[in-house]
Amino acid sequence: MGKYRPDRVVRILTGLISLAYYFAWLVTVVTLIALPAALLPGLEGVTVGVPVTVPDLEESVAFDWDTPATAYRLGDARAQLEMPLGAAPLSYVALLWLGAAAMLPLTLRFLYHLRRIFQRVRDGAPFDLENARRLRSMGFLQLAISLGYGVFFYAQSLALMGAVTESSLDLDAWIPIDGIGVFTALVLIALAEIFRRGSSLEEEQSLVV
Amino acid sequence: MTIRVTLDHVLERRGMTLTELSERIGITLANLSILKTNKARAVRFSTLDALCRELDCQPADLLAYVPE
Repeated sequence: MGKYRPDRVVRILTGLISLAYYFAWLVTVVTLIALPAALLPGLEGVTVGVPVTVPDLEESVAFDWDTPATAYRLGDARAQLEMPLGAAPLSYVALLWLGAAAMLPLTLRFLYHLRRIFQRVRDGAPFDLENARRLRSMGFLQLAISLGYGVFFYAQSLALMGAVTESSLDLDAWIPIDGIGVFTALVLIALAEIFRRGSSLEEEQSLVV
Repeated sequence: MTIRVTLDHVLERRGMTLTELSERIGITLANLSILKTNKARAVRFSTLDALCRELDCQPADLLAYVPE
């Protein structure tokens, strides 16, 4: 069996993931500093997009796919409320900051592991036991990110809905279920076991002279 | 493992070092060292062939069965 040589795609992806990792660091630092800073005078224009659901709209849309054209009634609509942070209470900004402080480091750790895996693959050691451990960690991190995002989203939606005193719309809070995230987590955990077996086979192969 | 590699005895009889053998048969010193120190899990026939050719010996000269 010849020595493993990563192709150009792996090398390019390794570079791109490194860039993404450094960018994620920048976003994390800026977000954690900017959120409380938005309460300072002069920064009232800073807004944060708050996802909301508007249920049971009395609206409809017609398509000309059918003959005659049929109007379909809209159900729930997902919208984004631009909330000026300067006008929000400290408790709400604190909630947003806590959510960012919890979720962004998880994302950073996920990217760190992904970057290290690609670096080991680029260096010619794909079936490294450390890669297997990293994949497993990434799986659990993805689960935490998916579940954490749902919880955080629901909490901030509830906080927002609780503060609304007047609205021409019927607003509702909901828990988004990140099915793709959970599925990805399971795939990563399964891959970790495959890589663990691969690393033991490679170790055994390395002792064949 | 009950199979022992007696490569060091054959090398001594031939007056050859492991480094010289490695250069002659194109197997890395690290791999030959794994073989010599009985850490190898398996030996390829091609490796055995190269060793026997270079050391002018039989496979039985290089391997010994030692019951545990």
